[in-house]
Amino acid sequence: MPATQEKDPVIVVLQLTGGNDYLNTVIPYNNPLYRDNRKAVGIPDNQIMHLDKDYGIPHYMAPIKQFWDDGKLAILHGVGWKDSPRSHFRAMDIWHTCEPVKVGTEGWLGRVAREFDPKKENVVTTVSFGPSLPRSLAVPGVPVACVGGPLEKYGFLPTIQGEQRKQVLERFAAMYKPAIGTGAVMDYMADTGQDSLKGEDILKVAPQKYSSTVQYPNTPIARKLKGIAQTHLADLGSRIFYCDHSTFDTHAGQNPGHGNLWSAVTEGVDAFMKDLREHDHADNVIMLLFSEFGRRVRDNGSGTDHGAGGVAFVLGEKVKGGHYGEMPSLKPEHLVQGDLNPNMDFRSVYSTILDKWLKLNPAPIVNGTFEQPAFLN
Amino acid sequence: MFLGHKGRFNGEDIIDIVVQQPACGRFICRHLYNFFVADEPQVPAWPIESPRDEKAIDTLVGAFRDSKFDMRSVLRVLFNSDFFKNARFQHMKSPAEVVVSTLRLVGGHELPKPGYGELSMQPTYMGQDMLNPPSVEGWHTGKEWINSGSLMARVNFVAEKVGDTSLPGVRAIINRLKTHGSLSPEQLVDGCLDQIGPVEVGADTRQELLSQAKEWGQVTWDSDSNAKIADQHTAEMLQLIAATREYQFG
Repeated sequence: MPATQEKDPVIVVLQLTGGNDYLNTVIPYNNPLYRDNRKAVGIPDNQIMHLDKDYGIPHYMAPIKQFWDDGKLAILHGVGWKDSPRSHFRAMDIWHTCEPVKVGTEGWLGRVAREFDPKKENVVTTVSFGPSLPRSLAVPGVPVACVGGPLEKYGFLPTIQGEQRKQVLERFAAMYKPAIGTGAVMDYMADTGQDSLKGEDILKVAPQKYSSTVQYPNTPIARKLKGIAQTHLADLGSRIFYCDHSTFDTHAGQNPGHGNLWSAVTEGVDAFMKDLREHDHADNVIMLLFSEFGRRVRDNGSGTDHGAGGVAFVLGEKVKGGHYGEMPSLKPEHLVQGDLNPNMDFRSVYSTILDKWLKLNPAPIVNGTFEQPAFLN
Repeated sequence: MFLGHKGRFNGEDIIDIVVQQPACGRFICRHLYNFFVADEPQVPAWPIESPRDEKAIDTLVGAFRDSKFDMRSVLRVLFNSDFFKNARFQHMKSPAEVVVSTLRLVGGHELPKPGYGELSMQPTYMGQDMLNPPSVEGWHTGKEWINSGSLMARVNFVAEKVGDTSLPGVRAIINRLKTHGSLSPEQLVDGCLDQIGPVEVGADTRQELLSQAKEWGQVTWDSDSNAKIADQHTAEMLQLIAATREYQFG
C-alpha cells in the first residue's frame, strides 16, 4: 500500500496482567512519601531515568525512554474507577466489558470489531495472540482469530496433506455448520470452527510474506508482537490486535520480578515499532498498555499488594506524548483503603481512542460519556 | 474482630470462621458441580446469575453443612445423585482432560520417556498453562475453553494421536473392529464412535461421518493390502470424530 494513501487506523492492546505497580513504573522520585512507603521495593535514585523534574522510570524500562523523548508516549495517570475492586478477575472483567456494576456480556473491542465489520466479511479483523480469548474481544457472533502458537502452524489437521486434505477440511466445514436447536454453546463452536477455517487460509500468508532486519528478543511477549507485526505488514485488513504479558502480581519478590517483566515488555515493544517503521507501516498504529489495577502505596516488605489507581500508556507515531491527568496524592489522608484514589476513569482512555483514532462514537461502546484526555489529535 | 467473631484467632480459627459462612459452602459446592456435573457460568457472574440447577446446589450445600464441612460426604452425595448420573456430555473437557484422556486412550504413555516436555506444553497451547492460572480465580471453564486457536490446538492434538496406528490404544481399537472381518460404512462410523468414547453425535454430524465412510465403501481386513487401507481409514475416521464439536464434551 503506498504511504500517501490514508490507511485504516489500527490498535494494538498489550495487557499487563496481574496488576502493575504504578508507583514503580512512573516514579515520583522527589516525593518523600514515595521513599517512606517503599522501604523494601523502592527504586534507588541511581536506577531511575528521569523523564522530567517530577517523574522517572526504572532503568529496566529503558527502551521506552526514546518514545518519551520523541514525544510519542502518553502517560495516563491515576487510571481506574470509583469503588475499584481489589479482585483480579472482577477488575479485569470491568476493564474488558466497561460494566463496573453488573456483569457485562460484550467486550468493548468486540463492539469495535462489529462496527468495523458488521457483515463479518473479514474473519481476521481482530487477531489475538495467546491461547485464551480475552473477554474484551468477545461479543456473540463476532469472529476473533486466536493464534495460540507460532503463526506458521495456525491451521486444522496439519498432519493430513495432499488431495485428502481438501476433502477432510470440507467434511470439517460441513460438521461445523450451524444447526437449528442444538443450543448456544454448539452454535458458538460452529461459528468458531467456520471462522478459524477461513482465518487459516488468510493468516498463513503473513509469515511467508514477511522479511525484516529487526531482531526480536526471545521472550513470549516479543514472539506475540512479532506475530502481530507479520499480520499487520501483510495488509490483511486486521484492525485490532491483542496480546498480554504476565504476571504483574508482585506480592513477593517484586525486585527483580517487576524488572524482568518490564524489560521483556519494553524490549518487545521497541523491536515491534522498529519493525513497523522499517516497513513504513507505523503511522496507522497506536498501542495501549494497561493493567487491571495499580498496587498498594506501602510495600509489604518484599512486594506490593492489590491497589486501586494505576497507570496506562498509549504510544505511537501519531500520539501526543506527555502526562495526562495527575498522579493521585500519596498523602495518607487522601488514600482509599491505603490505595491511590483513581482520578481518571479508564473509559476516558477508551473514549479518546474510539473518538479520535478509530473514529467511532464512544458512548455506546463504553456505556456512557466520559471526558477525553487529549493524547490524540 | 473477624466476620462478627471476637477474640484472639490463629490461622486455623480464621479458616473455621470462613467455612461457617453460608457463602463459603455455596461457593465450594458450585465449583464441585461445575467440575463434576455440568458447566456453570463463569465465577465472576455467580453473584448475579443463579445456578443452572438450584436444587442440586442446595442438596450439596445441605450435605456440606450437615456433615460439618466434610468434603468426602459432599462428594458421596454428589456421585450418588440423579443429577450427576443424568448429566452426560454437559461438561466441556478442560485442556488437561483432553490431553490426559487422549493419552489414556491411545496408550503408550504409561512410563516416562523422551518427548514429554513438548507433550506437557499441549494444555498450554489449548489455554491451560498447568499450575499457572491467569489469576487466583483459576481458569474460565466451559464454553470459554473454546476460541479459534484453542479449538485448533485441541482438534490437532487429538487427531495426531488417534491417527497414529502404531500406538497401542489405536491398534487395540483397530483390532476390536477387525474381529468383524469387514465393516459397512455404518458399522465403521458407529464402531469408531463407540471405541473412541463412546461419543454421542448429532444427526447432522453422523451424516457427514457416514458420507466420508461411504466414499471409502466397505472396509475389510481380508488381505494384507486391504488391511493396510482399512487401518488407514479407521484412523482417519477416528481423526474426523476427534474434530467434531461433540467430542469436546465429556
